[in-house]
Amino acid sequence: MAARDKLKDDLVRAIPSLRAFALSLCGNPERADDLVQETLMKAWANLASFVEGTNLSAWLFTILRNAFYSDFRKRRREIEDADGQMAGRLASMPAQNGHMDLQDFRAALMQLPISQREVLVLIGGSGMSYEEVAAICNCAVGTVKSRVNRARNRLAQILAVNSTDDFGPDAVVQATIEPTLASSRNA
Amino acid sequence: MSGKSSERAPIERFIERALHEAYAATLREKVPQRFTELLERLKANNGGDHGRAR
Repeated sequence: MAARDKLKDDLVRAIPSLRAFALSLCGNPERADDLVQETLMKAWANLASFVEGTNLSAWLFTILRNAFYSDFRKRRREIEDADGQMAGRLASMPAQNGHMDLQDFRAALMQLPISQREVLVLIGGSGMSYEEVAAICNCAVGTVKSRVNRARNRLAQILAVNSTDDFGPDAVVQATIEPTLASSRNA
Repeated sequence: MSGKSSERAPIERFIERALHEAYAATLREKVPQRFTELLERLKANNGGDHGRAR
């Protein structure tokens, strides 16, 4: 009984990250929560395949990802942009003052092919290692690195980022991207 | 994109921060009741401790 209590607590702790990952994949909060629910049910039903002491989050992310792709294949509605042609056409300057904000960023992120978006979110957002992401995505580490690189370049392209000035006037953003520059400006 | 290599690191840092910001609200949000109730139901319905890898 105690083992199941602990597992339930571990699953509850993983839910926020699962919701964020699901949201990054499908872009729809309600569908994202449905994916999380499906993930939790599948995880519980397949506990035998989880090796205690290994990475529970990675296991859950894998289940969620598989559920997403399974659903995606069923729906067959165009989201994927494997060649990046659509993203290229949709490239636009940031909305206000030539600077981008988080809304621009979210929109740009959703324009990335899913295969690139998922690795970027797992590496940059969830802080997973390339190896963990490779296991989750069932591909080689080199493929993950390549996709992350392409995702970053594509984002910069979509957001029309050419220099640090394009990141916006926000002091916090500036401090993040260029601490030295920001401190000299604030001096 | 001229000067791409020299701008790469700031872009990477921005993207990482923006990713955190983009999903910060979801990460901070209280776990919806539907999930905690679901897990309670699963726990209650799954009588034995079978299936749990040791």
